[in-house]
Amino acid sequence: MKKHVLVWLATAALLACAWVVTRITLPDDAPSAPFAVVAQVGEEAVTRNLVVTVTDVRLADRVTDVTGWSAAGTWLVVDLEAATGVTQNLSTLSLAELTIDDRTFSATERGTTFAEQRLVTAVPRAGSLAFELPDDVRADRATLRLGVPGSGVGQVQLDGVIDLPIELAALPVDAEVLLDENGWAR
Amino acid sequence: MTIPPPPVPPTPPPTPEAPARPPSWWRRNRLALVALAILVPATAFAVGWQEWRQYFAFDGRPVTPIAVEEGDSKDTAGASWGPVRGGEITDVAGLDVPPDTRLIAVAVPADPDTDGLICDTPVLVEQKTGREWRPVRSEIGLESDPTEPERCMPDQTSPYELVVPFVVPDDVEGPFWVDVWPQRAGGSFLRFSFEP
Repeated sequence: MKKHVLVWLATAALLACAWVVTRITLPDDAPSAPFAVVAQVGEEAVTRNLVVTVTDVRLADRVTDVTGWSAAGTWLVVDLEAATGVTQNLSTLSLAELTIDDRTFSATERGTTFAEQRLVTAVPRAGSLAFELPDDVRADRATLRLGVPGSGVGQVQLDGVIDLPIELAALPVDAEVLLDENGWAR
Repeated sequence: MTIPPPPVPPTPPPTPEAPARPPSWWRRNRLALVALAILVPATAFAVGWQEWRQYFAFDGRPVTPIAVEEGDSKDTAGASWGPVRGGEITDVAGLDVPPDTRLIAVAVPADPDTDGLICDTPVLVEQKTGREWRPVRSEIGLESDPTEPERCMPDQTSPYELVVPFVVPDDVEGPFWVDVWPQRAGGSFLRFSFEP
C-alpha cells in the first residue's frame, strides 16, 4: 500500500516538473532574440546602433508623398528622426514592423518613405514610415519595432531594437497625410 | 596407565586469505579516462578553431590595421596609397548640410602599380570612441562625379584620388583614422591617421 502511494506521488511530482519545464522553456529563437528598448512619442530612445525619436503617429485614409504618389486605405503614418550610434556599416533602417496581436505588418515600400533609409552616425535623418493596414484593426493595440539588422538580412539578432507601443483607437485620423520628405532632421 | 597427553590448545583456523579486492573503478576504466582527457580538449579546440576560421579566414573582413602616419604613404595591395589630405569644409553654400555639424572632406591618393584597384568607400573613425562614418555624398545633395570617385576604379591604372565627404556632429573633433580596405589586402586594411 505504502509503495503504491509513493509511486503515485512520484508520478504526480514528475508530471508537475514536466509541466513547469514546458512553461518556463524559452522559444527556439530566444538565444538570438533582440533586446527591446521601449520608446515614447517625442522621446529619444537609444540602443547600441540606433537612436530614434518618434515625433508623430497618426492614422490616415490617404497618404501622399512629395513626388505626388498617393494611395487610399487605412494607413498608420509614423514621423521619426533616426541615426546610428556607432557604425554606418550596413546601417539601413530595414527593420520597421508593426505587430498587432499576432499579425505583423512591414512598413510599405510604396511611394517614397523612410523605409530602408541609410542612417548616419550621430547625425539624425528624418522622414515618415507608412503602414498599410486592414480596416478591422483601428481599435487594437499595436507595437512598432525599429532596428538596424546589419548583416542579419532583415532580422535583428542579439542587438537592440526600439519598440513603441501604440494605442490605435486613441490616434487622430486624418483624411489625408503628406509624408515627410526624407532629409536631415532639423 | 599414563596421563593422556595434555590437550593442546586448538590451533586457530587459518585466517582466510582476504579475497583479492577487485581493481578500482578508476583502474578498470583507465583507458577510457585517458581517451576522455585527450578528446574533450581536442573537441573544444576543434570547434573553436572552426568557428575562428569561418569568421576570420578567407580574408572576408578587415581585421589587421596597417597604420600610416599623417603625411606618410604606403605601398601595399597593388598600389601606393596616401598621403591622405583633407579638412573641414566651411563654405557649404549650395550643399544640404544639417545645423550643428561639420562637413569633413577627405582625399585618399591611390597610384596603382600595374592593375586597377578594387576597394570600398573610405571610412572615417573617431579615435577616441571608435564611432564610424561613411561618405554621405547623396545626402548632402551631390550627384556622383567621375572626377571624385568614392570607390577604387578597377579600370584605371593612372594615379587618382578617392574624394569623400563626411558629416559629423560639431562636437566631434578628432583625431580620426581614415580606413581603406583594398580587396588585395586580404584581412588587413590601411589605417591613415588624420586630423582635420
